[in-house]
Amino acid sequence: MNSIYKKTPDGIVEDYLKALIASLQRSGHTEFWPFGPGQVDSYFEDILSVTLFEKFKEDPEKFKEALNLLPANYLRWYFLPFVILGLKLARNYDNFQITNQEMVNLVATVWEVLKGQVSSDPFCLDGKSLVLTADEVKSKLAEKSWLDNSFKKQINILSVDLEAYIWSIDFDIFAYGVFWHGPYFSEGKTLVIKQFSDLDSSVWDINEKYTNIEILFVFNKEIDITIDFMGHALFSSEIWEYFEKAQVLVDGKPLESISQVAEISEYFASKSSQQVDKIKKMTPEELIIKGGEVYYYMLRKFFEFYKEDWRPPETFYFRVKKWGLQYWDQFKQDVSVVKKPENAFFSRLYDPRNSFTD
Amino acid sequence: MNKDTPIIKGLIASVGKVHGRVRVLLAAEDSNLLEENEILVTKRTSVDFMVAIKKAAAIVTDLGGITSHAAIISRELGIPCIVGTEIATEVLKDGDLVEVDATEGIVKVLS
Repeated sequence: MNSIYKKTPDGIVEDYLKALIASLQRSGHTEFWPFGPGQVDSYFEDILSVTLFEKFKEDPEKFKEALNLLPANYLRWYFLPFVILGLKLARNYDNFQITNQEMVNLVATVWEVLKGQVSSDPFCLDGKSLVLTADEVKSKLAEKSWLDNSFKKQINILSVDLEAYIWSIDFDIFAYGVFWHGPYFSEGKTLVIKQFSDLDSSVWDINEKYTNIEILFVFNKEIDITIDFMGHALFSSEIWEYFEKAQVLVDGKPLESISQVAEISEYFASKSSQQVDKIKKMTPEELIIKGGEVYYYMLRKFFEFYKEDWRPPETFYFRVKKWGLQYWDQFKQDVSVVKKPENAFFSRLYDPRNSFTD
Repeated sequence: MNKDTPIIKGLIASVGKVHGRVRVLLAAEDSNLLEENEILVTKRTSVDFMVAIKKAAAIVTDLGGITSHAAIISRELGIPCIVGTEIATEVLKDGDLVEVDATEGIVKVLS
């Protein structure tokens, strides 16, 4: 396995931990809405991770093909640390066996798939997530349907309204539906792309007419913007002084007027508000179930590749009934009492080379 | 927090400097209380605070880092934001006139 890497598997693990810890550091000490880490994933993290690992063990090449159907942002933050932790937890159940080396190989395999998807560092250690080729960037910049900088405010509002909508259907903690990529530098300009996917998620009975929206931001110089392991775009708000134009593609079709942008923006602001109201009325059991379904739905292309249903297995629903609110209560967020763990804790927690899960 | 010259420190999430009246929101349900161009002061924001966020001149939070919800949204909207102050909601009161200096990461109480 080593021969295909320029880096050793251990080197890849070190990169993964470095990128992950840097991202976690930036998130600070906070609360998530409407539930926090552990409150929902504890009910399915080990089951799902074992399912995924068994597919990896059975046929690594087929597993890579299936993983390659998932975008880079899913594979980094929403897949890798989750699966590592799930596999560590699974060691406590049902005599599940996995060696540290197998865990390391899994990290190296995800890295390899990422390396095929992006031309930048697979874990964004260079601050980039470059999905497009140089020619594709040139071709995008050569397109004609741009909205000039007089649209700036309305486009920014659209972007946050869409982001709010994603948070309202994926929850803060699984907000995989927002995907930044770039920055692409070309002929003195910067292109950064923000994609919103699965707007019509089947997890909710929302009957949504739109599926994917992309906002392409173009700046008139090379701006300082970085993308991190968790998919965050890091920049100073001063970059907006250099904003030149944008393109908004709604299911592939460009918007052409300020009224169209405003209409989409208001539409999703209203939709997210309805979702928030719905979520506030849900019981903890309903939130646990919905959270599990949101996570599995994110992986549906992976499961479809194996001709399997994306929905969580019966064991998950059974656990919710049997365990009740045990983990919901155990991991309830109380930031006034519980302080954010140190980096060393996260490093041990997500390192595939140990059994640390305390 | 300095008692002689009331100053609250935090992390710079989105740069800029504004003056304005404080509106402390401890619950998202009260978002409608925030008036246009007030300074939103809260423990942390989430999607249910969007109504208030879009009207605020700046955001100051007790919790969070530079990739927290308030930080992400404020950078895109181009409004100043200071996060992780730990004490803003305890110290600041509705109607306080403050300067949010998010180039230095401080909030000064002016009156």
